[in-house]
Amino acid sequence: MLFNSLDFAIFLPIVFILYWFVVGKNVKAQNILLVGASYVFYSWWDWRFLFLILFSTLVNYGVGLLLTKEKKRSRRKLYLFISVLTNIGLLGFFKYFNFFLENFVEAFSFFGMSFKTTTLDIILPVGISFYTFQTLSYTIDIYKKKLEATNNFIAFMAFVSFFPQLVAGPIERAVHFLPQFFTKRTFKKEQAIIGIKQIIWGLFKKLVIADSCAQYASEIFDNYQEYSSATLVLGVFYFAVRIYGDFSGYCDIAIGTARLFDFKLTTNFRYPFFSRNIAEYWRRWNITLSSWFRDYIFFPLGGSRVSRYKTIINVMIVFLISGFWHGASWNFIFWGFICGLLYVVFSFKSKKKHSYVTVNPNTLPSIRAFFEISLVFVCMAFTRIFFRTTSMEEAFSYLRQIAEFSIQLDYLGIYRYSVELIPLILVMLWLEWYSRNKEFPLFSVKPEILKTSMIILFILLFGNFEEVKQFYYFRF
Amino acid sequence: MRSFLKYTFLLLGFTLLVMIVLDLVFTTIYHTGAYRSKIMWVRDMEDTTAVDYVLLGSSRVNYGLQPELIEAKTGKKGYNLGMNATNMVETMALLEEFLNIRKTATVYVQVDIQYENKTPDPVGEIPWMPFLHEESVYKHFKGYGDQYSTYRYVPFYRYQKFATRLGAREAVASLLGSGYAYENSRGYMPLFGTIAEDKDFMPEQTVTTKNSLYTELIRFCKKKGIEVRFFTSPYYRFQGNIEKLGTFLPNYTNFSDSVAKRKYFSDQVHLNTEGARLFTEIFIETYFSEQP
Repeated sequence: MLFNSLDFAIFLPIVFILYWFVVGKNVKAQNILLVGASYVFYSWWDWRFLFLILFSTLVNYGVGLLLTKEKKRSRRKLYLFISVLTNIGLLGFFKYFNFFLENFVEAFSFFGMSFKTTTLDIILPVGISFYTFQTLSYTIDIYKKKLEATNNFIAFMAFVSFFPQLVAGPIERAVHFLPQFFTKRTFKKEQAIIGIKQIIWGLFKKLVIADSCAQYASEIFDNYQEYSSATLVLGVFYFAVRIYGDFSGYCDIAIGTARLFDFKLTTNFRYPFFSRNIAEYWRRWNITLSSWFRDYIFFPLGGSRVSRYKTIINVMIVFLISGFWHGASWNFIFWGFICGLLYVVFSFKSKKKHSYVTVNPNTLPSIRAFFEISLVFVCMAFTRIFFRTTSMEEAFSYLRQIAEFSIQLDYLGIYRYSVELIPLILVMLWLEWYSRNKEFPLFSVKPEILKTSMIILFILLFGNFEEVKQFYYFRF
Repeated sequence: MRSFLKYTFLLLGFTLLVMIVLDLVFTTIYHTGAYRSKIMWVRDMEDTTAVDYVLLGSSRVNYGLQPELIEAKTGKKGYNLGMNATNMVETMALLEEFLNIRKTATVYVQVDIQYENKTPDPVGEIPWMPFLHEESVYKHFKGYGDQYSTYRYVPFYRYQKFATRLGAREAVASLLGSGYAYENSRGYMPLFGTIAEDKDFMPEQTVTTKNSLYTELIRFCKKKGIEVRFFTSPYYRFQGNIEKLGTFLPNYTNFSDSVAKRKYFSDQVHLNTEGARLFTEIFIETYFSEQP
């Protein structure tokens, strides 16, 4: 079920009413309802993969209990290994099987050995990359004794499958999220109003900004051979805005929805387009994934408390894995490599660490800050060429065509020219710029009817309702 | 909880109100603004005198026949009411709209490999959406799915669903007077350029079964005392099978291979301006030279 569908618009009020008015006084019943709702939500896409979620839940729940009881280090390692193997195994099979198979065959054929293999027609289960990371963090944290295993299976099921963030994050840590399933939830008017406004803001970013940019970006990327360099550069920027509007819009809807049920999810985006260096950008973009990699890969490798050379290696390892996490193809790995490279260059160049509000939120940026922000945006937008294209050849071909420096802008092969798009992107950036000390631009306990109404008007008037477009990160 | 529900209903109420207001605004624009479709033009015709003929069909009529040339050569007055991507459902609706205002002696209906289509065309139906609240229009569509009642009764939804062709951009264009001057060419729309590929046109569609919508059209016209003639416009290097059209339809003429040279085609199914002129002359010779 998609957040931007009529199905969800019906589903959400039903769950909300049942949650607060029917089972509102009983935490256990609320959890059972959430599990049921989450499974219905997920089965809207493909019910068969519910067994996968259930299997992952059972294994990690069991491993968690065993880890708590077991004192022997070797046994504890074995249990952790089972959990890691199960989670990574599921991910590996569904996401990476064909990639490895094809590359092994190619590698062997390079040495003159040929194999006859058939790739499997595997459907990637939506959200698998997200919930496997969430459950992995649970068992790892128990292993590290940062967390006690729960023996409440229903609460654990709800933690794994919580529908607002099941399919594309934010990736929650058990330490922060699981306790919320044990405490009594009370309806908080302010939180619910903020939740509604966050959903509206998310819908604005998805339906108005991302989906409109998507038609330009898709046309240019899918037919890049026909367009000039200037148009291809425009395609890069459209895609950068699209991916931001799409993913951060999704996260806003997820967090806003969770607020309606008195859950607090972790903020996943903090205005990344206003970052002044690459390191800052990654602290603001997909924060829960970045921090997952930091805590479970970067720190165990030694983090930055090792030699400069080793730190660079560690950073590169994290970014390569991050690239591979996004997609099972070389262009994603290369995307991770470039991002890592940029991170290293920018981090070692600049010693200054910017906070989230780097410039006074009530003023325009200085020329220097504007230049830095623009530079980071352009760099990150261009890395997305490897993210958007389907292969390395295509990505380099796209770049080669940009390097031809033909400056005329082409007439695109699309029917609808959204002349309002650029002003609307500017409206979004303007609202975000002056809201950097808030979680999102409409964040306020006051109803602020006028501001919210304007956003609703924009959604109705300029939103893309022609087809329900899937969120981009669902493919990961 | 009560104040939250009040807030939510306030937002929902506001949303509904905005949808109603926007629906009213957009519908008014599409009823009174500059013409963005032939439907708007036909409904707004001030001259109510009878004409000799109307030409009906898809883009193959829209770009293919020049009523001004027919009038210059024969003195017969008529209109080209061909609209892109229309099936018989939309054709029938447009004919009725025209007959609500004016009379015609003859209708010429273009038929081709699309003959068997028995439902509204997903693109051809879009210009009709602003008028769907009118029973006379709705009756043509309602039998083809529940979506039409949704478009009719959920305010503004049809303008969102078809935003590409009916959304804010189109409405503003119509409001600002940016429309088509159909009257100047009597409905004919010129198409420029010459076909790029010199190859046979082998469509997948064939004509094998009779389409009852055409029988309805014949019956309707008979009731109104209108003569109906069917024809197929030229194709470039056509290799399809439309032989059965002659057995399914009365007064049928096949012009599919009447224009052969590549320079007359904009693509394999559409004539360019030169081709339209040539085909109009052939059309005049066939239909108007025989009449007194």
